[in-house]
Amino acid sequence: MSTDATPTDASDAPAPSGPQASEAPWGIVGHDHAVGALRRAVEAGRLAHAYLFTGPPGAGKGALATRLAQALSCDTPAEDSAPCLVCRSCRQVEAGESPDIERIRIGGVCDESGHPDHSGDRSTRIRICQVRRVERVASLAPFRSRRRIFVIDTADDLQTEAAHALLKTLEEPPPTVLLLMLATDGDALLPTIRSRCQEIALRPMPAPALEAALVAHAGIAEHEARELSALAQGRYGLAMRMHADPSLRVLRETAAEEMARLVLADRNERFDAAETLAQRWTRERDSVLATLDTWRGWWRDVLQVTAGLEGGVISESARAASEACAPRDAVLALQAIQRAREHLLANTNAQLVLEVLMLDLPVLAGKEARGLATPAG
Amino acid sequence: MKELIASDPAEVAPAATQQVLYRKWRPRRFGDVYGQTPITRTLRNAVAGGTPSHAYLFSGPRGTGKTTTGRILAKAVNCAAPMEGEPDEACPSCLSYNAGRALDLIELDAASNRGIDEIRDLREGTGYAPSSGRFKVYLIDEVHMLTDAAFNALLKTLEEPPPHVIFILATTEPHKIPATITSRCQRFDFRRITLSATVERVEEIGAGEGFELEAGGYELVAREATGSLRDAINLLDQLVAYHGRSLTLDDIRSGLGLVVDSRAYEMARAAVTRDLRAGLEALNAARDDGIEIRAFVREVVSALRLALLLKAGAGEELPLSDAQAEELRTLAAGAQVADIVAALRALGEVDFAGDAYDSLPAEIAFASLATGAVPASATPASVPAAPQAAAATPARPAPPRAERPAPARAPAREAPRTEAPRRPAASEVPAAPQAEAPRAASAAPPPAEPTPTPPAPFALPDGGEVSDDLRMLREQWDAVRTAARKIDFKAGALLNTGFVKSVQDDRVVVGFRFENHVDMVRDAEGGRVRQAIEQALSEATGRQFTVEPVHWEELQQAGPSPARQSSGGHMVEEAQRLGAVPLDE
Repeated sequence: MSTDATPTDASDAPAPSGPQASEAPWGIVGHDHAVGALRRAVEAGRLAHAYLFTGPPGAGKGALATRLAQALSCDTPAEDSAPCLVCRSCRQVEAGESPDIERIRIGGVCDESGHPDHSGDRSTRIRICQVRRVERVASLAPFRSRRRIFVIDTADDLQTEAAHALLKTLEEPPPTVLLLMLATDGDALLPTIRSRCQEIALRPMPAPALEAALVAHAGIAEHEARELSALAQGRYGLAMRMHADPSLRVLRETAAEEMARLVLADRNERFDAAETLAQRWTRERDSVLATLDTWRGWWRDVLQVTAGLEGGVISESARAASEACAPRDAVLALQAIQRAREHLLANTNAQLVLEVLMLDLPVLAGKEARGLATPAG
Repeated sequence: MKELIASDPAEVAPAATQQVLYRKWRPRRFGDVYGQTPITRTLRNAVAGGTPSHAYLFSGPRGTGKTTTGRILAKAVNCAAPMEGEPDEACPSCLSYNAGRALDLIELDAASNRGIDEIRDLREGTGYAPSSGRFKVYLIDEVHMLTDAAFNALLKTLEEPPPHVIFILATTEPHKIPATITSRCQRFDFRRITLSATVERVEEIGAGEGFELEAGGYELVAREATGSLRDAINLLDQLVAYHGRSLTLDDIRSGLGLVVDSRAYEMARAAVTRDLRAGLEALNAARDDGIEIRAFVREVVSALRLALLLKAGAGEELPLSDAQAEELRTLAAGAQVADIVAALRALGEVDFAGDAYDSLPAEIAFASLATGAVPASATPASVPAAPQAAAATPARPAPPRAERPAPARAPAREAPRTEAPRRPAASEVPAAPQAEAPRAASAAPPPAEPTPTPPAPFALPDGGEVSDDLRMLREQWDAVRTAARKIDFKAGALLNTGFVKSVQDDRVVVGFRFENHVDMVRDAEGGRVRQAIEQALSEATGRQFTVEPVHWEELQQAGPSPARQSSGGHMVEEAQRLGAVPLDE
């Protein structure tokens, strides 16, 4: 539930296209294996009727679905069945305007006369009526290309009833239909759903590969690429999003500074901070969660340093703090933040949770910690 | 109502998808249905004798053949010349079934048509005679998703349908079917398919498709499918899609995610020896290489489990290569059972909910184990209060382990730590028992192992003779209190000021610090509190005792009970920091 991880974003951040991306097959960075398997299947005409793409948000599930759809409908495909990305149908797919490709997500058109559209009604799951529509539309012949493609974005959002309703179609759809299910976590789906699809897992990229890809494909400066790859945990899409949105970065830096201040602060100051945060929680939950995430990252840095590990990007203030505490303190702080996060998500009284968090955070004192008082960047 | 029709491979448009293997190889005769012989034999006999029941309920896990068997049954009852109950596969009726064109098989998706209106439509349809065959077969799949009203609307028809109608209900979740439905059907429970039957079937399919798998490959695939044939065939399909038609064992292992990373062993070893640095290093390395952390933790847990098996001498048949087995043997040889169990517990309970792909939950779980940091809320009430209490109970010699990775810097860090308000007692209490207590609580080693005894929660006035029973009860006192709190809150609260004074056979004398508490235990609410304590004693110790409450003044003189010290929490801590001094009541 972190801010950087909403399912819609995943699809909005396709890998870079154009000449820069020439080495990455289909312009998808970091999933050569998955793209290779799909490409071979397309070339040999051995494509299955249902695929399940699993991977963390920002890993490229949506981008992969888009590229596969383009490869299947491209008017002028390249030799290796790569989509050209410039013909009309490729552009239509990219823009989400192709008549033969339907993306099913929370809030969307459905098949019931009473409520034909869920875009404005605050649905929190994909509803059964939307799945019924898939069934009905699937039996119609495609308009333009040879195939009708449904992208379930994401299968995690399917209501239980909706998931069951999909089973029969998922097992034996009409021959012109291709179903692409996107999901964060295959284990969390109904086993009956999973067993009907061919699963393609999009694993996180190794950190050095991600760094190199950011430099090569997106033209990001090396030092920033290193930092982004450490933060994005192997997800190209997420790294690109952080690069594109400087406000995320500012938020991160402020939060880290705040933690560096709080570990030295007395109880009064901490309670003030808890109150401010609690007020923010009522308005903008995501930014509070992002703050907690940054704090987790900060204490994680402390833990790494106190454990004697260097490497990765470690903030200066965390390094200074690590002089003044033992690994155990860092672990207790991490546990406290984790607990606070869980409680907040479970709708516990925010101020109470945050005050307890403030009390649980270790208080650093002593000579070593004074280095913190003058932040070194 | 929409009718779903299985399409024949030959009919699929050339431009479209080739059928996946599990559809292409869907059995067409009872004889091809693997692993369900008792069911298929019964059905064949029914068809051969011309006495099919009017309603069947097929239940069982995914991929065991429910829908398939239903379709074959429909084909067999309508076949022109069935042979010993098997469809002949030659008559026009059978051909139309194979092509998915049969009009007398009506396959319904109950999950998307789950309302009462759809069932009413269905009932009306049953009145019409079959178009060509003898029976009209309604195959209602995912029937557990029907609404209650829909189930009830079906009852009358299901009990006495027209003679030409057969209902087949199929579901993976039979417990959701009302009993009134179940009792009107002949029920068949499809079992998970045995390993050997799965292997046989995937081998047959592999040979038919011209795949070449290294010896033992099919078995790996079958093992991974855990009794679901569709999963097995699908896995085979995926492996071929990734690696091509000839597969080595290595391809299969990596494709199925069975390759145990050498870092998983490093991590397992670090968890057992509580080497903070090595463990974090292994986790970092795994994450930086793009390994999915959840899978990695699963591997570590399974390595620890195997080490435990080896340690217990039960590791005859490990599904491992020699090198891996050797690695585990060294790991097991150098470790205590309790350490392995503690590591398993810590890493087995990592909760990835919320951030499934973040390595942080795993790091926290491991670092908590390695540093002995137990969250404040989980700290047992028995913080050692006085040194003599800790000394009175023989502590298990702690296995040598790296408490701190950088010993050179340790003294410098020790100083600010003792000043931290979290641990007001830290300066008097040596670090060892402190680390030991939470560890003992989290490890809860099996009874065979010499258990580290938690120190008594009270400073006892006398150090005299203690019988075995008394010692046992004192060690178990926390458990007694916890149990009492669950049974009766008041009893639990009263026990906070009470402690076992002496034991004589089945009579336990419990001393209380305050006179009025003794009265409350003895008489309150018709002895309810006393009964609760007795019940708690039997739950915690497995023996029956009678409780005799007495006043125990010396207990009071031993100072404020540690329960108060530890349960005061932040407020008390803060008050003390501001200069408050706790008063004796």
